[in-house]
Amino acid sequence: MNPETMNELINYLIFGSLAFIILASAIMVITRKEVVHSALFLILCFFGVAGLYIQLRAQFLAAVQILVYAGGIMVLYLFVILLVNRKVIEETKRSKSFKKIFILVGLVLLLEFVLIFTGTVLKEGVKEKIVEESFNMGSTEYIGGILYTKFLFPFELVSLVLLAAMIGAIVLSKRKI
Amino acid sequence: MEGIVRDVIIALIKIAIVLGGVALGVAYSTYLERKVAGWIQVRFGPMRVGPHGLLQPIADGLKLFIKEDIMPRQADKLIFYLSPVICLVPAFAVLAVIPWGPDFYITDLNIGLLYIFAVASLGIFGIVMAGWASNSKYPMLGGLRSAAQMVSYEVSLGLSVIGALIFAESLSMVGIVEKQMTTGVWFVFLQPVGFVIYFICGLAETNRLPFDLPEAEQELVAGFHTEYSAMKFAFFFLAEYTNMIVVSSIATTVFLGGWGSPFAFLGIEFPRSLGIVKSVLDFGMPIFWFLLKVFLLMFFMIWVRWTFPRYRYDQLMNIGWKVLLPFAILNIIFSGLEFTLYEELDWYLFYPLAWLIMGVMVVFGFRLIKNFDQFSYSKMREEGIE
Repeated sequence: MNPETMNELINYLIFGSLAFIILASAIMVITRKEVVHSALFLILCFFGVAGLYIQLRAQFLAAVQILVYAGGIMVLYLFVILLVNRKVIEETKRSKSFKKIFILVGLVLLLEFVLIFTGTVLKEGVKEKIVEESFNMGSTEYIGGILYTKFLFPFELVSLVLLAAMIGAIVLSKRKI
Repeated sequence: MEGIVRDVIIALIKIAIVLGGVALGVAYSTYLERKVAGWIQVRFGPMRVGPHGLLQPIADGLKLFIKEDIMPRQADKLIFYLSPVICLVPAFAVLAVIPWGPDFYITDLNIGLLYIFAVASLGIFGIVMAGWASNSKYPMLGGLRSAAQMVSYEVSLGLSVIGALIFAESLSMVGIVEKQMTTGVWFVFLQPVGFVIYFICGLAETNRLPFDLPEAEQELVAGFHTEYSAMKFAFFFLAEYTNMIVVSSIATTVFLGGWGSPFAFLGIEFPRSLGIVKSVLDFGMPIFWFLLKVFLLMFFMIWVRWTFPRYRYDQLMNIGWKVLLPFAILNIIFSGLEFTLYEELDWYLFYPLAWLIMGVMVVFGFRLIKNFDQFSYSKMREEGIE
């Protein structure tokens, strides 16, 4: 076996196992009865995604993925889960009123993915171009540079949205300020 | 193929040395803790096992091995078993990027510091899950407290090193140390505020006194590890002391010049005539300086523990969100200005000016916090909220 095919084989193996981890843990998240177990599987899922980022040479994104999602947001999730009364969680789980909305949202998301993929990666020649361009897109310098030049406006807009969400959360939780 | 095999073997040897060294260091930092505590409280500390109690940590380890392993009946078994491991693994995984010496580190990632913060932030799950899985009231409260505390202090911890990163222009741990070697100035002299914030947050992240609310004895028995015994308890203990070493090592790397000698400015080099002794010294001295700095920081942490009383919970949250966070953000803004000055001015103009601005910033920051506090108190009084 020449080294190039071996490299490709290893790449596929890594991708396959990561994809398996992501899918399996995602299914576990929605099927577990105990909410805390779901949360733990969600963390595992985040790790799988971080692994995919590393395989794509986006180390910065991978570290941020773990730092923000696994280390930050999931801790808050767990915090909330532990604080909320178990009975409340079970009762909300049993109610089926949200089911239709969830299915609708899922279908819309699926459609969106199909549109994105047919529009970009699956087109002739686009894939090679993306692979070539994205070779050092994962580095911290590149992301920092592009965030503050080309995508400065969306970046600031996002931070404004987050600020609004923060103020909103404070206003909601504290009626009297 | 041969190259790969050789690389793997070298990496394994390095990992073995680092893990073994740190495990031994952890064992003996418990000894150090007890000796320093004894010294501060005018008593001897451990004296019985071995000369001056030197074999005490080993005896303790053996004792913990053969203790009965108790499992609460209502506990979630799998998570109860897993959580000590979840606590310990991140603490050890972080050691992979710590540069002990110029030629002695397991690996050098170009996102080194970010990797450390990402992995270290996972240790908290061990504590929360331990609290939850025990299915008992005190561990639960301890776990919740710890979750809130660590999330609060992680923010300031991350922000406090950004100032130093602006000067380092790199996230790689080796890169940060090398920058300090080439410019010849440790970042603690450029970023004293960042260093202080980092160290306080580090104490909080490792659940050390004065921030050890998750295991406050008089309120919560032993906090999240109340139900744990034998080796599972030892894992938590190990994780806490490993985290102490990790926090001290990061402080050493980012702020205290890493493996750099404090006498480097004298420009003394070992003479060539020493031959093999010179190469051994060249390899060993940086590691010695690194370990010395880590040891001094550890000593300082222990000193703090046996000096200060524990904070109340509301005080803890106030310090985290109302003091450390504003200062960390002010420090980032200041660092941008400082970096511009650093590039433009000569050192004899830069340092007085930078320290002057820094002093003004600290005074201004405290005034700001005080004013905010007074404002919110007066508001609360107006609204009639206590």
